[in-house]
Amino acid sequence: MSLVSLPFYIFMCVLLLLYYRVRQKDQWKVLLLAGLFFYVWSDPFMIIFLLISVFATWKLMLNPVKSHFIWVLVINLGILIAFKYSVNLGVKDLAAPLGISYYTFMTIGYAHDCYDKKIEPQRDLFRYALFVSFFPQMTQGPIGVYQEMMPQLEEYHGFDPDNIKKGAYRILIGIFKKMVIAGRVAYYIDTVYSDPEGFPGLTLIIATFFYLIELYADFSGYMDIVCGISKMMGINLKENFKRPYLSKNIPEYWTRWHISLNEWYKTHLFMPCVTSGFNRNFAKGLAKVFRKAKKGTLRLILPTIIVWITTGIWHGARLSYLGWGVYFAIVMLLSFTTQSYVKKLNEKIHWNKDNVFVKVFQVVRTFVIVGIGEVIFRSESFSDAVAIFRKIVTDTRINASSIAQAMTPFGNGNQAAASVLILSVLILAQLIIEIAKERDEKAFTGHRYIYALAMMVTIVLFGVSGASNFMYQTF
Amino acid sequence: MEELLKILRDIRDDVDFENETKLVDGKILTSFDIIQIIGAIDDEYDIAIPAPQIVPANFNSAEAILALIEKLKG
Repeated sequence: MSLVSLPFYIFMCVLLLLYYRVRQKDQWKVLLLAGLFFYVWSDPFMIIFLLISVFATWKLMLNPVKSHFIWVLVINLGILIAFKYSVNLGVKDLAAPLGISYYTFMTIGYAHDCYDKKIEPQRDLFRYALFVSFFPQMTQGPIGVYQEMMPQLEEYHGFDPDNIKKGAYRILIGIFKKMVIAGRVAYYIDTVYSDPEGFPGLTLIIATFFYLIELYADFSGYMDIVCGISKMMGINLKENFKRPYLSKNIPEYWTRWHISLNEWYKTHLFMPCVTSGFNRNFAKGLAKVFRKAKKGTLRLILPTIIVWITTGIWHGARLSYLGWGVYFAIVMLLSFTTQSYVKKLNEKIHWNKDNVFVKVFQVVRTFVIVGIGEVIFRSESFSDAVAIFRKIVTDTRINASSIAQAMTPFGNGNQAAASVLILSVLILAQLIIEIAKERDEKAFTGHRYIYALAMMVTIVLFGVSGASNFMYQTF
Repeated sequence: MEELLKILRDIRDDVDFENETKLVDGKILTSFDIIQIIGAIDDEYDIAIPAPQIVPANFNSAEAILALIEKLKG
């Protein structure tokens, strides 16, 4: 069931009626049933894997000893790997159960926290099942943290018209981003990336720029919708994006993009790797070779490589995903290892980091570095990515003919000019709406009604009706 | 304490470690800085800090870091 479809919103209306009418002590049960109903409607047979994961993890973690934790990892990662890499394992291509990546992350996070004694295991199977199957976040995140989510899910939430208004507004922003922005730029990107050799460098640069816009509008649009749905039920989900394209360096970018996934990796893979005995010895071995290097920096090398390669192949069994992971591992390591040298250099050349031009330079530089990574990610194959980079370097001229060629994926003549104009206005509108959203997060002021009306009209006029599948749902 | 402050200043000379009590919660230290601190503590005191101990409360001030070192030593 797509979150941008009529059946879903009928389901939401019925759910809200039930949610606010049942007895206080039964409210969480409505959420659990809604989650199971949503899953069965979307992916009826695959619910068996969700139920296996829920029951096995809950039962094993009642006594959170090491062997039980290992079993949780084997069962959950076993199912995930079997579905994600079935083709590479020589089996036929199996369609993965809905949300398997996301609920596996949540499950492992819960088990790890139980094992580390950060939380008490949940004694009630059904309450634990609610944590994993809370339907707004199960299919595409944000990846829920048990100790943050469970109190909110168990707690009774009385009807509050303000939550309904704020939630509905947030949903509208999400639909606008998904159907209007992401939907409109998708055609251009698909046309160019399906035949990169057939287009000049400038077109490839524009397609890559649009791809970054599409990724953000699609993914953060989805987050707006799920945050809005949760808000209507009085539940606040963690923000998964904080203006990532305004980051001044790559480490900062990864604290502002897909925040819940990066925090999960930091807590459950990166930090355990950093503090492991193996990494400690590895860093001590490196220190004998790199005598001048800071010890802490040497400790980052192995965990950074492990985390980024794992993140890359988590997206799927494609060489370009692995390449993307390796690329960001290198960028992160360069950023870590050169930090002290860059600081000294900045002092020498009197580089004022508060200067607005310096800030703009840093933001653009970060955007370009991210863009290079996303070319690798988006390419159908690794050789396509190489071809795109070659074309951008050797075949980028800005003149009347290359600009005319860059317009061709939009259509011909006036149609192309109108498309460029409309798209520019829409992207600008998205920026204004987002800034307004952040500025008055707490108060629902009058001008929001004007924005809401403008978004509704824009969705009807320019929304791409077929754009109902979200990109990150497939991961 | 002086020894620890010297280690911390070597890592970040722009931070007032003596008085600051929200090093992590106030986003003064980054993850990168914390890993530098973990590495330096290991070298100076020969203490391996386990992952579950890497929580904001243990790194919010120089005093909290010292208390963690004492706890792990004991």
